[in-house]
Amino acid sequence: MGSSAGPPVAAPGIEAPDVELTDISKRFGATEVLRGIDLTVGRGELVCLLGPSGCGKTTLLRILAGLVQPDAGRVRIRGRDVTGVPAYERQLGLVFQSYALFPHMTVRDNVAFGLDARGIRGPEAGRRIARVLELVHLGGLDRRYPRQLSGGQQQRVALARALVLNPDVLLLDEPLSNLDARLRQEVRDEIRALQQETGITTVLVTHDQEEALTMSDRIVVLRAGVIVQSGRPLDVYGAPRDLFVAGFLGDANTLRGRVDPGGDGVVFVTSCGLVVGLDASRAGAAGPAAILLVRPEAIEIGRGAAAPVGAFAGVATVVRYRGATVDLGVRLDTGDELRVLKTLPGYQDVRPNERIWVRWDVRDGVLLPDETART
Amino acid sequence: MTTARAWVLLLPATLFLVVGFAGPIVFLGWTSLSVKDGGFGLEQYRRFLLDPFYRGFLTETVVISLVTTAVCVVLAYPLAYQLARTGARARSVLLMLLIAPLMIGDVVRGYGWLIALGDYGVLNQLLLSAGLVAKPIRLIFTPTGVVIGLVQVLLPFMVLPLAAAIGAIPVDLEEAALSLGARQGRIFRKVLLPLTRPGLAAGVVIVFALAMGSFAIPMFLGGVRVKIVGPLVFQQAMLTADWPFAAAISSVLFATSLLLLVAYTWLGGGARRGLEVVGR
Repeated sequence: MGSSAGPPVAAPGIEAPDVELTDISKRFGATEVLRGIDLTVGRGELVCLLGPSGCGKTTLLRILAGLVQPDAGRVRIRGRDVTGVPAYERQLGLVFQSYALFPHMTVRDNVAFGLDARGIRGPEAGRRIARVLELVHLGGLDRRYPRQLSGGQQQRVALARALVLNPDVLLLDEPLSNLDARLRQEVRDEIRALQQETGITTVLVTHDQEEALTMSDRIVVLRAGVIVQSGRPLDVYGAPRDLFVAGFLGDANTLRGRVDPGGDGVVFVTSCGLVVGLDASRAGAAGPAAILLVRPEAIEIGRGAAAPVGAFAGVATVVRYRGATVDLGVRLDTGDELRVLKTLPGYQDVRPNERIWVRWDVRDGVLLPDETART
Repeated sequence: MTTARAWVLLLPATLFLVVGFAGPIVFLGWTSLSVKDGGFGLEQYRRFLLDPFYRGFLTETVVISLVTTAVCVVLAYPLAYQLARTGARARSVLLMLLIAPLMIGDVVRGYGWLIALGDYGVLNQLLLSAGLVAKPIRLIFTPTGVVIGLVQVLLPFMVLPLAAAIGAIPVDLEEAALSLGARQGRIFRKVLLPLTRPGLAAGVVIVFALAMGSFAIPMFLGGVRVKIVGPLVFQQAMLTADWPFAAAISSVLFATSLLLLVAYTWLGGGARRGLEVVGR
């Protein structure tokens, strides 16, 4: 494998990242699945590949695993160029969405499979199997067959089977999608705890925003085969780069309008005529036609017709009580519609059609270029 | 109500089996026990099993059937894998190619092989002109020729249950094995083979039974030199008109097949599971 096509393996003195993908492209027939993907994952980092189905995230994981060969680009793991190296020669732990446990083997034999393939047998294998089964809390179930286990237990066998080989990188393909909602939360926390405990570099593929937000050190959002945004969950959520990311990660109010640099301070004027103050440091980024994005939970509300300074008056159109939270629809007097999410303590009992006012911190407004207006 | 309806639906097949299968077997057994001067005895069986000339037919048939079955297993796995793992469109083409020979009768195929494998047939002409052999190699009227013919006729019956069994195994399992460090050989031995055992059992049962009872292919490719039971029965029944002897030979053939298959399924774990795979 020559590495002439890519950049140098690592700068001197700097440890190579565990995963380094450079300019990966892949097409299946006429469909371009991935285009120019660059991605590095540092030692011990948990990176989430997030996107809707068909965005290429699973193909990217399979390229990393060696199950699919990229049309172009290089794959490096721990500094070693493994592009073209078959899956069985990569030191990776892969956990499938379906778990892919061998149905004719016991838990123990499933876990022993990879060790056996590497020539590790006897007491050494026994020790490692016992240790990993302890780690995933499956001690005592080693004689069971997969069909005798619950979904959560099967998931942990799949994890144990991958971890027992001390892989360079752990790859998880939609690890929670086959579990029911209550178990999902439990297993999510378990996987995260396990990952922190073992310090194993992990790449996780998911279409579930909550999974991505709660588990990852870094989220990589993919759309149509391209990385749209990459960053810490808080940063991606707080400052989405475009409407797609904003809509995919949580809910967002989108106000279309233009940036008006005149007068005292930069303001945003919505198409309905609402004038909103802008955080001056962010205002320069967008062109005249823009979208102002405000998260529903960032909006403060108050009852009564008299709006304080800086607040906007309107009417509550919908009040949806959801237990711990209340979901409100608000129509401002200018005609702009907003969604507001309030948590219960401190929430004032708003009735439908009641006059209320809303306001938000200018720093919570994210200005995005309006791509539909530009074209 | 439902059970009654189920019985009504089961009746035609049951009747057909009783009249067309169980009946003749009883009749066969009855005939085989009759003695020349009237009365009953095991004379026909003694004649077949104690005379080395006739017994040779039974052993050669068993050996040829076993070899045919083994060759079919080896050839069928790659074919079945390809069939099970390709896309839907390619699969229907492959399936068509696999099934197409079944639409041509055994007799036609027997003639075909005779032309292909004959002393101056297509194969020998090719070998001679290529200078690979000095004189034609003898294939027809040899056990090898019969095995070649039988394998060609019976291969689909091995491929189909195996393909069904492989198709039922998620690709994920193979990929998981790959990612765990297993190469193709290990994946076959540790994952595919154990999980396709029911399909394999079904294929073995069908191919072996059909080989044991084969008639047209050994008739053309075996001639008088290869001793196969099927043509012997035909000869005794139709040419010599020795019905009791033909019945006894048939009964022994039937019993031998049954015995070997029962032994196999006992050892190999489950004809019932195997047949379930075929039924899927």
